[in-house]
Amino acid sequence: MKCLAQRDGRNGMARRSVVWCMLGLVVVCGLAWVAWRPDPEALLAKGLATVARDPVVAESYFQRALLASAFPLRSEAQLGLCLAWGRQQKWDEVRREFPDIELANCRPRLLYEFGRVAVDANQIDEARQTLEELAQRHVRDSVDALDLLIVGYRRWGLQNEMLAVARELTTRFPDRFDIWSIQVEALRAMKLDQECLETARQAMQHDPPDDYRREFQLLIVEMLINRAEVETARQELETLQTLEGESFRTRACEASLFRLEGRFDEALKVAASLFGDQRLEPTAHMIRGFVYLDRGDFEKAVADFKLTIAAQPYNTQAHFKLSEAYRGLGKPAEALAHSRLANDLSAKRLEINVLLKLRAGQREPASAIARKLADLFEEIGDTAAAAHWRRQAGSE
Amino acid sequence: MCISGLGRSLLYQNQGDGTLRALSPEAFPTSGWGTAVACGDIDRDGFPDVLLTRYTDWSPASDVACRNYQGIRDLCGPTSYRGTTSLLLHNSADGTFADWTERAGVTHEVRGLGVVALDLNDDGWVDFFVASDESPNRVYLGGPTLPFTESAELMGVAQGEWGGPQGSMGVGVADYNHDGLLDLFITNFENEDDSLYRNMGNGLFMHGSAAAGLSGQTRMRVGFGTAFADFDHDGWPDVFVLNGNTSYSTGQSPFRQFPQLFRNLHGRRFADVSPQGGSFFRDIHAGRGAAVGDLDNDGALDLVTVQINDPVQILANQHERARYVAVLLVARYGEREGIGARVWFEQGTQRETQFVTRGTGFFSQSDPRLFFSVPAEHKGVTVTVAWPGRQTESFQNLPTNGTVVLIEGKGQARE
Repeated sequence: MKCLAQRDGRNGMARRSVVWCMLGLVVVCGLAWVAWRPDPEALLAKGLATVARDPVVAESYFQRALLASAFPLRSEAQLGLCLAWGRQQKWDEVRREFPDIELANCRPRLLYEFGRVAVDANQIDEARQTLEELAQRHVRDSVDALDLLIVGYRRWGLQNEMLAVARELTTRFPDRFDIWSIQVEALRAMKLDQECLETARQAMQHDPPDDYRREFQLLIVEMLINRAEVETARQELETLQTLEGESFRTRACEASLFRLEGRFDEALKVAASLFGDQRLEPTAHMIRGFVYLDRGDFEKAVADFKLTIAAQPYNTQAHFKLSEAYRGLGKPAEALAHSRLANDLSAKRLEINVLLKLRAGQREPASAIARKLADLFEEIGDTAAAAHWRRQAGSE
Repeated sequence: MCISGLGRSLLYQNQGDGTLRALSPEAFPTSGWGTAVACGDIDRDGFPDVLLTRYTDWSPASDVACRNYQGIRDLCGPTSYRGTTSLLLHNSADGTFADWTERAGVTHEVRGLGVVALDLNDDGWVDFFVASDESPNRVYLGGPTLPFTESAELMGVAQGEWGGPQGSMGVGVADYNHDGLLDLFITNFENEDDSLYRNMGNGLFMHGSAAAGLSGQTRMRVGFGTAFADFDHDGWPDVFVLNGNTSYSTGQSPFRQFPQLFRNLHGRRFADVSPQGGSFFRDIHAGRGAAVGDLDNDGALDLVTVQINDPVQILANQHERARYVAVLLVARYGEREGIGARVWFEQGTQRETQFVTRGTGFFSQSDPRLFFSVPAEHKGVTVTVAWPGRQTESFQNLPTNGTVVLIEGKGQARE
């Protein structure tokens, strides 16, 4: 029994020695790690400096930084890693890592760089999260983020979001006439006519350069014509004529004003002066067609709208107005065919808007949506947009 | 009297003793969000049938939280919910109605806010025009057999001036250019012109707003109630529009808006004469329903308007008195009111035509009488009636400055 006890005592001592040795080793290693561990800040800096020209090398810096860093640097290392992956088009890896990142802990420039890469690659969710985080900080880089967001929102069909950013930018930087221009065009596209008119007038108060001034002034005239404010529109048209002299656009406005007043002969006379520039002839035919239609010259209206359609086969308004002219001529079959074409084009445009919004809200790659968008754009004759979405479908 | 509503719409039967009794749900089977109602005898059995149009499939359970452009909780637009079909209730002539919606082919999805019973293609059969909010308007053409033929697109009244559906609400019917054909005036949402559909004959219509000078005039308003009637005794139907937004802040036009009055300039153009319309036109309102009628029997058409959260207003027509004849039709060989009939009064080369319709305005019923202004020098007033699907007859030497009941068969038959 005693022997056994002595043996147990020796074994216990041995075990304790081993444990103490191991503990000592851990302490020594820990001290060594503390003394010689890589500086995560330095690794991040190296990664950021490298990522644009060599994302593979940058990836290793960010990986090491991630190992070396603790909260809050860890988030930056993660985002850096995502940036390196994004530059290598490794978006699956990005999507795995990204949800765990505390974006609030990331420096502005890193957010911006990643956001830019994500916008370029149409990684909508990631781009929006990083750039919206940066935009709401109100630091210097926030303006760059807003600029990028406008590009993204426009591309992804997020008109409301684009408008909100444009409003913020023009409030903060009233001399950004490029943004004023985007804002008024978006408002016009969204049929927010009242705000569009007010915004164009606000932009004019900030003394825009001549090219912008002319565009804003034209928009004011057109908005006033839309709401039948003939006298004010005429005054504003005079201002536009002072700015750019007699032009296709000023004459088109003049014709519209005469038409609005029911002075069809004068409208036709002005419309006749719109012809001459081949590029603008489809529009000239359209404008003259409107006057013929109002005057009841349906044969002539048909001829004009047909010429517009010959040049612009996907012009929804021309198809619809042609259907009206055919109805005036008592030709229901022709009228129905063209109103259906117009409806079909309108329906496709609506579907495109819905798909763009759907796609913008999706986390998963949506190649099916991109393919459908490509098809729809093709069907409404927008070949550039169709090609873009075809590429997107391929890359996803 | 029919009152539409959410869940159940009610038909009250006059008991002849000064009281009304609502038909039971079995006798008048309705459901959904009933909005506008119009009556017409679709099968010429002598009893008026009912077309009840309905709005969306909204229910408390399917309610969507919508926000306006400022992010504030606000009313949802119509497209937040699916549309529904209208309901066609056939009068069984025994105090009950049967659901003939399927049988009549009234199965198109609409967000109905207006319905008018009329004879749109002048074939003697009652048709229905349904004004639909942000989805195509519908026309149900009646005939000797059911189902109806839906023809809005073919006729050119399904869409707005640039194609595509509009926020159609109120409906007015008149022959604004004295060509003897029935034209339509539809009120729409903001950023859409109210639509004047000019009848080109042969059942074809085209947009006449721009040519008639109405383009842009109503663009920044939300039109609800409307009346297409002669307010100034010149024999040409004018246009009244009661405006008011649905939302407190769309950023486009305010909740309360000015009403509008457009004078018909001999069928060619309309001129905005709202400033001369009186104090009502100088104030803003959240306008909705509007009905027209001669409330004080002076021959001048008055208006009754309904505003949100404001008292009903009666606009007494103060226009200088003029000679007139008011006619009320009593049909003997069909449904009693002669819905679908065409009535005209000739003076010289001018022929003023009016139509017996039901359901014009917005959620309202107007005076069933037709009013014709008679020039002071005009002698021997003759009014001609084309009874729906039956004979045409003239009623001669009518007394003026009062209401005359024209009974079918009592006039002088005409070719």
